[in-house]
Amino acid sequence: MPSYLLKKSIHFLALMVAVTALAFTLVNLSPVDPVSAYIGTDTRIGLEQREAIAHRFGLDKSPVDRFGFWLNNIIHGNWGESLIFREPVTSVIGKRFWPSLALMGGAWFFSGVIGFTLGLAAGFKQNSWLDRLLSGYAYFLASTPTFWVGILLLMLFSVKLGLTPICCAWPVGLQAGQATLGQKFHHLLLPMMTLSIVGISAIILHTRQKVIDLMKSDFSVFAQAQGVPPLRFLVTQGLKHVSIPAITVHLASFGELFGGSILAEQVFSYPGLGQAAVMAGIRGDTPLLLGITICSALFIYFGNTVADLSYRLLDPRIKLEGVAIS
Amino acid sequence: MAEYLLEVEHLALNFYRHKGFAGQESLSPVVDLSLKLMAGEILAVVGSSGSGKSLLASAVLGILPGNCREQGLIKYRGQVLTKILRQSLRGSDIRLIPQSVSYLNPLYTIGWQLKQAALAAGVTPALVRTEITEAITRYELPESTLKLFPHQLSGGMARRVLTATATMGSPRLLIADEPTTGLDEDLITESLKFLKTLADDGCGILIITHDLSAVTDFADYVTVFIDGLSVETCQTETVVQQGWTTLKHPYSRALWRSLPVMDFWDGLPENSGRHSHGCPFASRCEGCQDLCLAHHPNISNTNEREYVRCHF
Repeated sequence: MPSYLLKKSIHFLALMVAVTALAFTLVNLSPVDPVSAYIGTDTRIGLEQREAIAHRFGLDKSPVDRFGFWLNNIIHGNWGESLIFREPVTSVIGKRFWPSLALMGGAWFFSGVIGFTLGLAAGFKQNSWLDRLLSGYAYFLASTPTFWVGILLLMLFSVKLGLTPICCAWPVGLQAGQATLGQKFHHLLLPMMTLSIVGISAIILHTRQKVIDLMKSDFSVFAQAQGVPPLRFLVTQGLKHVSIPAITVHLASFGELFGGSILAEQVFSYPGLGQAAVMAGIRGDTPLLLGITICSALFIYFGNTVADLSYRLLDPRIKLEGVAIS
Repeated sequence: MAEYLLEVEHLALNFYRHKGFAGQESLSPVVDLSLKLMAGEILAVVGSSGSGKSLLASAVLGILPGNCREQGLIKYRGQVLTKILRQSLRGSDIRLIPQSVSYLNPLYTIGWQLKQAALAAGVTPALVRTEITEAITRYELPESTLKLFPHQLSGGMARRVLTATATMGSPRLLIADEPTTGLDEDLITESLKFLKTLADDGCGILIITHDLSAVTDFADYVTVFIDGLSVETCQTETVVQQGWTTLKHPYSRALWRSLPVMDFWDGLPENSGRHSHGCPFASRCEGCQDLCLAHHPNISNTNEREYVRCHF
């Protein structure tokens, strides 16, 4: 176990260094000029003053020095100030993290539960009309862009039926703190549905294939030979086999989930991290963009690590290094 | 007349598969298979790998895949084995001893699997514990085995565990699918001795194997199976004592003759493929005539138990 943790920590550090370095390099190569982004449209500032600002920003130093300086600040908790929101990046992320987490967490949970159930049904009734329907649906969704689903849902539920609000995370005109939990949930519903619907396909197809493999396995034949009917076999002995990889795959889908949330938040004007990332990218808010990049890397790394751990803890055939599970 | 535990008469299995839009393709791994087994006996069905003999186990247990059509008759203790009867007998009266540890659920412990087998066999929950203890004592497995997972078993332990699963409760007919595959000499003997003991206790044992040499010391009867046809059933003792010449079918003669204890003959020609008509051995038979290529021969009984399927 200790050696496993050590290895994981080294992986983690290497990943963070790589992600920050890459993000920093990309931002450096981008046409965004930090001085112009800081000044905005103010034309009264002359060349000399611009140079003074550049010097104060440290832009006359080498990129490597700047990276070292920036990384040092990041480690010490100084993530800089967002140019759009005029407040520290950490506080912007802090405020927007919770709506995003609610959105992604809800979507993750529902797509997991529903997708897993449908996958079980499709795999168990392989080649039946139900299977064809569900697989077709999953393939269709797998090739559907998130924002398009979002727009369709908006058109149907918000515009046509008027059941759900058209935007935002709470009623327009209110502050975050003034909205009730019910109102927040009401606003969360449609973006969450969008993400769930899109996220469902991978888990349906994956679970379906696992069930098919399971029902063909030698030990399923033996269970049948012992008089256990197929459905009872699936429920009493097979769920463990199917759910372990399903949980893993679903945890490992945090990346797609985050990517999807950027699109969904944009469509619904939902004030989460994804929407902030788009704003930061378009308006050249470098500190915020880098901050969100680090956050998303952390988030995805967390998902993958939990996936890895869950496999090791749930499957007796895989041992944590140095720890035998008996 | 004594009652047979298991009688299989002219069993044929056809698999159907869709081909193209409307077409259907059929495959017949078992064309005509007959055998008889009494309680307390061991009968070995011997055939080359891939000859479809393992399907016999699935047929008797009634767990053939849905696209398989079965013809012929299977009787258990004089009663025709209907679908419903097979359903109620499998796991309790009729048991499968699987080929390898891959037939055990890899995510559950051996103790759990033995418990499932016992419950499936109709052992009352209160007695399961005693039954398991008896089984592991019988097969000299340490108590700690119960906490192990299938992948942690050695080859020998796996054999004992697999046999133990089939002996829970009171089985009458045991079907051992390839009980010797992948085992060394000592383990083969041990594995077959377990079966012999069960036969002595009154069970009927059907061994399905490709390895004739392993079973000659244990089986009472041997049925030779080639490309879907059972060509000869003989009493093992007679052949062992009087030599392969007592056999009538040229394939079973060749098979027995090639055993180390017989002539160690290596003159059996390679199989050159399947034939839709005629005797499956025709292309390799020295005495092959036109008749052998045209029609597949019918069974002619030598006595109540032994038969041969040859035109000559």
